[in-house]
Amino acid sequence: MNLSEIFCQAKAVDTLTRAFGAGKSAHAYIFEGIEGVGKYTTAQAFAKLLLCQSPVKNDSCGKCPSCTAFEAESHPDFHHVYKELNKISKLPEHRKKQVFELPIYVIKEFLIEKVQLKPSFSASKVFVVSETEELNAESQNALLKVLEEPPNKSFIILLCTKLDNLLPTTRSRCQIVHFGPLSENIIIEKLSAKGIDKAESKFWARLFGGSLGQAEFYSNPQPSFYKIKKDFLNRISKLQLGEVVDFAQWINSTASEFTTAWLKLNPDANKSDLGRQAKRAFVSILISAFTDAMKMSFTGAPAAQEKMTNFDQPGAIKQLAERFAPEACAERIERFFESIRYIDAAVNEKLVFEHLLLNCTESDIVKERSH
Amino acid sequence: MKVKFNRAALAEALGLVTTVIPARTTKPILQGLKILAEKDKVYISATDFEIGITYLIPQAQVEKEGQAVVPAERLAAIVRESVDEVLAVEVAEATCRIKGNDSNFTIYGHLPEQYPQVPGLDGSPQIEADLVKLQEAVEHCLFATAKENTRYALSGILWEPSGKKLTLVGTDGRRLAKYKLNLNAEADKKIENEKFIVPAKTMALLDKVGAGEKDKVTVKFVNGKAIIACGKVVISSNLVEGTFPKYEDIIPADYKNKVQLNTAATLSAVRRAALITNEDSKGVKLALGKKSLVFTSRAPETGDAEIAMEVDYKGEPMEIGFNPQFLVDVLRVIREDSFELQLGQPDRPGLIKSGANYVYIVMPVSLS
Amino acid sequence: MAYTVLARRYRSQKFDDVVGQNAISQTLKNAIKTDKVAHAYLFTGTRGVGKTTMARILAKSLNCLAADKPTIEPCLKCDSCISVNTGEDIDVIEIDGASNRGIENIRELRNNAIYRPARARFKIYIIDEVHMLTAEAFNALLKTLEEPPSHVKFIFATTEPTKVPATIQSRCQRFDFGNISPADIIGQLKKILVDEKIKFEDDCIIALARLANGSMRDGLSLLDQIISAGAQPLTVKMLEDLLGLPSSEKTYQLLEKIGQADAGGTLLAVDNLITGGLSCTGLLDALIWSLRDMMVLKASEDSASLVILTQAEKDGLTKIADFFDIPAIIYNIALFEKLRWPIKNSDNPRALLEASLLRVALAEQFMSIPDLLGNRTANSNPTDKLKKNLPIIEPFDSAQGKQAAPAKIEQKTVLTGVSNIEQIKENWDTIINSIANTRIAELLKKASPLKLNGNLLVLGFNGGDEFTMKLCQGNGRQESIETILSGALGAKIKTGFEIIENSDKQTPKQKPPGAKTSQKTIDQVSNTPAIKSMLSELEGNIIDVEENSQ
Repeated sequence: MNLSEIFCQAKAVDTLTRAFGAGKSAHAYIFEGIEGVGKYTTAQAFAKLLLCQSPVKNDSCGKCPSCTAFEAESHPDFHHVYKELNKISKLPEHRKKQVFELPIYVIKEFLIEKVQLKPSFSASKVFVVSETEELNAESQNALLKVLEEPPNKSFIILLCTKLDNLLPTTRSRCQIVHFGPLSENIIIEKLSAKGIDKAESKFWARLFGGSLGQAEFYSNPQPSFYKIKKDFLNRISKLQLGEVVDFAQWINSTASEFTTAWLKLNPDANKSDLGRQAKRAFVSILISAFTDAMKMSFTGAPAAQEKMTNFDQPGAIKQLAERFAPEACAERIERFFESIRYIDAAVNEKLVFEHLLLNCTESDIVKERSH
Repeated sequence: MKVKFNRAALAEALGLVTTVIPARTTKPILQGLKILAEKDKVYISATDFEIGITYLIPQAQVEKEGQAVVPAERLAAIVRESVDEVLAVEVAEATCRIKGNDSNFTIYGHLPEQYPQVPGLDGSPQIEADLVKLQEAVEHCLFATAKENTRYALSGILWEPSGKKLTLVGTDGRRLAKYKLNLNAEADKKIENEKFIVPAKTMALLDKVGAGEKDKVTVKFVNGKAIIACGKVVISSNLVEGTFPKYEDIIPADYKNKVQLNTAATLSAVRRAALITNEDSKGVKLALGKKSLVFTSRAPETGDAEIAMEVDYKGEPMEIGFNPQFLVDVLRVIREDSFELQLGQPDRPGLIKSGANYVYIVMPVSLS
Repeated sequence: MAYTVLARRYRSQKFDDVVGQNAISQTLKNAIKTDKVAHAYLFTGTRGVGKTTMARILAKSLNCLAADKPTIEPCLKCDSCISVNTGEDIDVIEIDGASNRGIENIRELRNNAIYRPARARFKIYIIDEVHMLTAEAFNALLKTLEEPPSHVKFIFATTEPTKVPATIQSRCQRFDFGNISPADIIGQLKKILVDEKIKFEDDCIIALARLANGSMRDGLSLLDQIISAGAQPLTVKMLEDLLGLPSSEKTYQLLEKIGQADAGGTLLAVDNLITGGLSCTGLLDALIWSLRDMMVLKASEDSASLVILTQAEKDGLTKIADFFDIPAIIYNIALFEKLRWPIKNSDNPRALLEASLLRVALAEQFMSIPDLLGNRTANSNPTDKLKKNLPIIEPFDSAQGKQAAPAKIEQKTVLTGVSNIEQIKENWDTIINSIANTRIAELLKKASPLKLNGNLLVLGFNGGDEFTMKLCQGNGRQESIETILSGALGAKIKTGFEIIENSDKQTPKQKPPGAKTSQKTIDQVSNTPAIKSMLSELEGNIIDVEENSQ
């Protein structure tokens, strides 16, 4: 893919092409933005341009040997660095490890060592490092030297979803290019092309704040999370104290059904990661519903419905808004965010959802319990 | 593609070529090797993107031209274990059949179009020398290159062509080896006084190529790569990025204290003295007097050693300490019976000269 | 293509060029002149303040081949100077402590340190990020630091000196590199721009210096980024666009809405900023910095050196500064700072940001009463400022679907004129239920009317609710309560608050959350006739007992 074909990151692409055109491409970039907004795709296209032997109008030519090799995914000067590379490390003890962070030995073996050799093909080498929000302090410190003074002609692009996880010393050596969320219409268009219903596409686009990647993941029709979300919200909107325990159970079992289904589609994925993803989705939906309800109180129903995430269930939102004053909604949203942290920390999940659901009833118990 | 190989010749080729194949990679195709069968020539090549090798296989009969990518390890194992004199290899698409007298193997490879290009030697070479001589020069320098990888420029051998000479230098910051090699012809003017750093790994590979007396080697530097062609084999390698230290500054030229020493006797003396050293003892002391050179070593809580050698020395008496390993390394590669040791002061490096071509510098250690 | 970033191109080469670290330069120069160079230095300071630069200058000075002893004016032309600059010298060894942090690396270093330098006077080890060394590695290093060979110098650099063991620190001369002042950064940036022949607006450089936050390299990286956009002259607008920064104008707008307790407006302003491409953390940071600047402006007469603001920004801030008093600013900064962590750790934090800001807007009173009163006399239109005290939100009204009007009290009259406390006591629940301001209603639920002296109504709180009582008194809320109660009781009411010591309405001490009810309580409860019959009808068990105070 060429830079000009990147459809949704006009500003980022513009920044990159302008700098390229002025002969001022930085040697170290951070591409920052939420999951699934085209950071890696753009990095690839930019790398292709940096490596291209005869760029045309600030974009890769697509014809030279470099571009051909790039498209065949066998460009010797393009290096993608990611944590699972540990599986092909020189050292057996690294290969066996289960990696959670982006470990220093991967950075050393696949970036710092590789950067020292001259490019084979093009005038430069390009390294794209994925998930740099997972770089621990050790790995970041190890990177500092190459980031500041990369051996000639090398470019390093760090992809990052949480800029705050990068040390100031790392950030100060790089130019930061922001990748904003994608517009709703683009996501709808992309999902529609895959046969996803428009209303559903719109919902996912809004829920994930413009991440095409995530929207694509959840809109997978087999099985449909969207259908579940509708039932879920309908029940939430009139949830009574007595139903809480059963409902929590239902959420947990539904989440594990999805986990199993997703694992089948993507056998390489980590099962507990997928499990958390499913559970987080429920909380995200809950958060979106209460946010909608909160806003409805200010803007009034018809106007709010325009912009709501759960525009497809105005009735349920209205019910919530009638039951909870804006301030009460806000308070609950804050608590739901805490629950996400519990899920990530693998706290007893049944309790997490029970607690969460108690918050969706008007019970006073919750208030006292939670603090 | 269909080719009949002489098994022994193929096995020898695979022995060398498979050393380039990466054991683990994100691109599985790199674990294959490419066979190219032309009218009367068969080439086998492999690459890990950094080093590439192409081997012209002798005694191969092409029955059908074509190319193929075959899993390297499997093919090598089959060829190694087979007993036949001739093996027929036939490839259609990505399926490879290997036939012997009593055997029939089918293995699955990749489509050859997807295999990265392995650079060959195009156009006229820039340097030409005898392969044996170049290998000797490499052996004299390779051991002195840096093993740890904090300073990458030192992890390779410097090539500096000039006129009919090629200077090779290896150093790890504590010692330096320099070998001046005669070329068969003047080096290309375009690369006159340029510096190239070739990775130690590539140099080691070159050293492994079987060489006959008369084999020539030609070299070309192009696009950050060295392409080395010797007889049946072409090796290509990315060069190391970075600046090599200015080695001339480091080689002392003003030493007056010189002594001629027997290579084997000195090696033996250093080795024996090194027996009584440990992590805390800093080195072996050389005490050079009128008629003798005494090697002493001492290790706390272990003991001490003293080995004396008769020498013919006319300079000032002198004591200096060296890491014994650094002496052993160099004495092992020196081929002449004797060499010259030159010393300045105890805090200046020692210098070893062998023949007209070889200089070795070693930093002393302070013994106090 | 081979573009070298400004931070590298303009790396200082001599002691006198280093910006903002004069004292350190001078000390090192003196040490060289008087031949008193220590064998180990520790350079500390945040990113981009000149640690590595200074280390390289020191190394060049010690080893310059053009002089026959250490010099304060390295020639910058000899091979030693040149290769030190690129970090590739054979005798000046730059090691990054992070990738070589283990004991084996330090052993290696020790083994190498005993060799004399190859050509220069000293073998100099520059260890960057030295704090990353492991404890064992530090110990191994200690040995060498105790009795260093005379030809060896160490220069350690770190951003985190606290992680360097005291035993190491005590063997080094330590220099703390301060943050570089905005003025120095501005000066250097301008000098470079003139050198590079690039036109710029002063305001843009001021904004850059502020973003650089004390680090020259940050400033230069940002400058690079804005230059690479290719347009001239450089303007603040370009900077904001390029970096996805909030315009200060929009940030102030948001603060204004918060200050005015306009919840709907707050949400709109947030939406406005975020659709403009700002990240949630970015927004929070912008709020924190604006509040900080506002605080400085309010607190200090002569704030010129403390805030880096353009005139337009100063005016904007001064305009909204009246909505907040200093304690409120401090409180909010702390609150936002606390919010930063969950925000930055959430995948989709927007809802959290909105919820939290809404609560800030609704729940907090930003002006202290004296300030308010002061303003009331000074300001011709005091009601604007007082909005805060009034109930803002009406219950959601779907039929009308219009925005809740925040303006007027619509307190229903429950009683028309009161004469005795019993009347109030009887109707207390009705009164509370009639209060539209949910926050105040919540608070008053905890209170009970005690006595009525003339128009002074004394409200009592249980000992455990002392905090609630303070909330009622504080931040001008008392006035609101008085206004509301006056409306409800149909008479002008003043209020007083009291703690009830032995109230008959005493509630049992609350169980700690999650604690089990004692068996004794359960037994007691299950013996009451009503519960007994319920248990037998339903075949139930008692698992928990909660007492309801009402």
